Amino acid sequence: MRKSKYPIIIPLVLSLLCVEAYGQVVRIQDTSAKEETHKPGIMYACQKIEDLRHGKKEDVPAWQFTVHTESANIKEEPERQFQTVDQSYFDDALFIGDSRMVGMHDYSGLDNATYYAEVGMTIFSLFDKPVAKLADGSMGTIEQALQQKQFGKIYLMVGINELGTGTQERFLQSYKAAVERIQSLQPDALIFIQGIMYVTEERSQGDAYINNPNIQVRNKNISTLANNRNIFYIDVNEVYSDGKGNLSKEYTFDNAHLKGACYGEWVTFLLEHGIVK
Amino acid sequence: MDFGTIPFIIWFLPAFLCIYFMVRPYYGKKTVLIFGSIFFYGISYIKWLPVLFILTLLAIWGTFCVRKWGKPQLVLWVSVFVGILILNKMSKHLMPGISFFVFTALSLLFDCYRKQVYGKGILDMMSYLLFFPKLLSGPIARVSDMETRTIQILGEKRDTVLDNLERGIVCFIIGLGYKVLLANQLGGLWYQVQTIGFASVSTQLAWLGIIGYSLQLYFDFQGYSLMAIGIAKMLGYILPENFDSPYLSKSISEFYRRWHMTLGSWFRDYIYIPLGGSQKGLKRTLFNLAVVWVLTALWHGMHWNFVLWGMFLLFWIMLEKIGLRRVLERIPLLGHIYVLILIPFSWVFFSLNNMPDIVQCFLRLFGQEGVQVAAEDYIKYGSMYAPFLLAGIFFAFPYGERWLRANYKKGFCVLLLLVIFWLSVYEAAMGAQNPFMYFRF
Repeated sequence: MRKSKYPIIIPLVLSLLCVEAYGQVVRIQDTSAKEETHKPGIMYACQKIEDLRHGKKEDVPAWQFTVHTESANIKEEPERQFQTVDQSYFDDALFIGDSRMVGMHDYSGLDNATYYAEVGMTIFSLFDKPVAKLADGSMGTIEQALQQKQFGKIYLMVGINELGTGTQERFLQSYKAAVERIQSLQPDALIFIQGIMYVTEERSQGDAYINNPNIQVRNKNISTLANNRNIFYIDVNEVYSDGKGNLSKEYTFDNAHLKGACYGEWVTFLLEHGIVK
Repeated sequence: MDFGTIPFIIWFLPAFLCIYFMVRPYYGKKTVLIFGSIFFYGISYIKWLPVLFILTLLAIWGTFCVRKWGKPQLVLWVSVFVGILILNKMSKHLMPGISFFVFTALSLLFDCYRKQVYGKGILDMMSYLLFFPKLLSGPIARVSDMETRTIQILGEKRDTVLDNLERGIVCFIIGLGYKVLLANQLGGLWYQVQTIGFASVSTQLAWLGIIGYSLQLYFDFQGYSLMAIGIAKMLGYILPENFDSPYLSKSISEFYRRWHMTLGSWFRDYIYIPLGGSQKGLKRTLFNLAVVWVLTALWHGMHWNFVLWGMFLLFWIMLEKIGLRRVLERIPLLGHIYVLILIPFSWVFFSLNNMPDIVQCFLRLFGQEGVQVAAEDYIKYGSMYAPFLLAGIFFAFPYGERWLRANYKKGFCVLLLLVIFWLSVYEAAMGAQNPFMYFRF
């Protein structure tokens, strides 16, 4: 067989044409993309491959509407006030959440607590991924882990990653379902809903989704889930805010996550917001 | 729209190449080149387009004046362009590509004065100044690069055209891979270190961080340079290479002969040698070096961290001139270790623009106690970034790139290049925006 003199150009051009054509087919099939005709077909092809790899981003998890456990014993529980506690209080505490909770695990020094946290976690994916260490040492879902071990306090911090996904109502609905589900699995635990931590002014102003007005609306919504008996709402933004509703720049490099050295204030805040039964 | 983006790769470049090859050689192609470059710049930086236009006309006017009236006009026009550069660097809004454009224009003025530019018309000079592959971030080509090595009359010789196109594509794909698959990924490590904060990273992670940043900077800029060289080659021009495996150097002086070579040779030819170079005794040599390095630092930005970076390097380069180089040459291993420690240190000054971070970074590098350090952070991030660090170290040696560029006609190599291309396109399509690091200069 005669060797091609120009072996790169032909396969490159051919593959470009094939992928572009495939992308155009994807675009035509995908009704939601019909309006956007200004992107190269290759973008659609890549997006399709990404979806096939990771599963299409769904904002409604399958579990969300399957559980409707009414909160048990609420009326029998008295209203409780926050009080200052010491670090041993966290011996039976569990922190569930996104990268902010991963940071808590890595840099807070609260080594006596348990963490089921993952970068990128959302309220929608809360029960889907294997982020919790089970009794046999393997990794399982939060649901599996909560069936194995009972906790005294459960802290939640999710919400930043899904600011651009779904509506505020859907977020609240999912949050409520998640809290109810945790309650059904851990009937004796105190649940602490933590307000989503702000981003800096710089990030807030430059981002259509991840911005503080959005965070404030969602925080206000999830704060209504608290009953001050066994579900509480705490907001660490009191500590890190610049007074204008933004995360203060001194605490962060990337405008969204605390520096390792800044988790101490959060721990102090949690210690001051303990609930003793 | 820079070289690493999908609209450039999929739309602009193929469309431009089609038009370029359809028009008749010389004036037609030059005109297409000028309009293409204006479109390329304008689509991203429309508000700066009039300024670019004025600067181009000024540079051409300058060359006519210098040709006609000699030295006084040279002094005047050099002052004008240096003044424009300083003003722009000091202002809050930096014009994209200004440092590279001004140095190109100055080179044109100097070469005109030295009578090294003959018979160049307005079209030639415009296409030289605006040549879009090098417009934003170099390589800083001389007018002679574009002149003598130009394959002047394209079109008739189909084989030459296709061969250039093929070689250009190879260069472009390697550069794209460097930028998208290596630099962008490695950038995450240094960013992570800063997100954690220098006070709280382990010493091991601090080291991993500066290694990651050193590799990121290299592949980012070398990636851009190769893409520029590749595009130029597709069009039939040969731009000078900008890097020669710099991390394999045995001294800092050697490193800067192999890193951003077109900037280094610019300073050598237009500043260092006219000042006397190393021919007028040790004291004068050291003075000349100091001048070059102060200017190199300021070229990167009117910020004290660049001055600190320049002074740090100047100190070691002076020591090498005084006698250290002889020791390093005698014991090559020592030379390599010396470069591989000091250059990453110098990047700390280059990267960080506030003193507390610089101090904290060095404290952590030398194992001083940190705040809330997660002891095993380096295992967590080291394993996350290991494939990119290892690939980065491999490609810091010249063999991989040399092999790809030499054997691109072999089946396996073609396959590898296609894989690199498509992985890069996929990453570029799905990933976040990662502008080139040298765009800020």
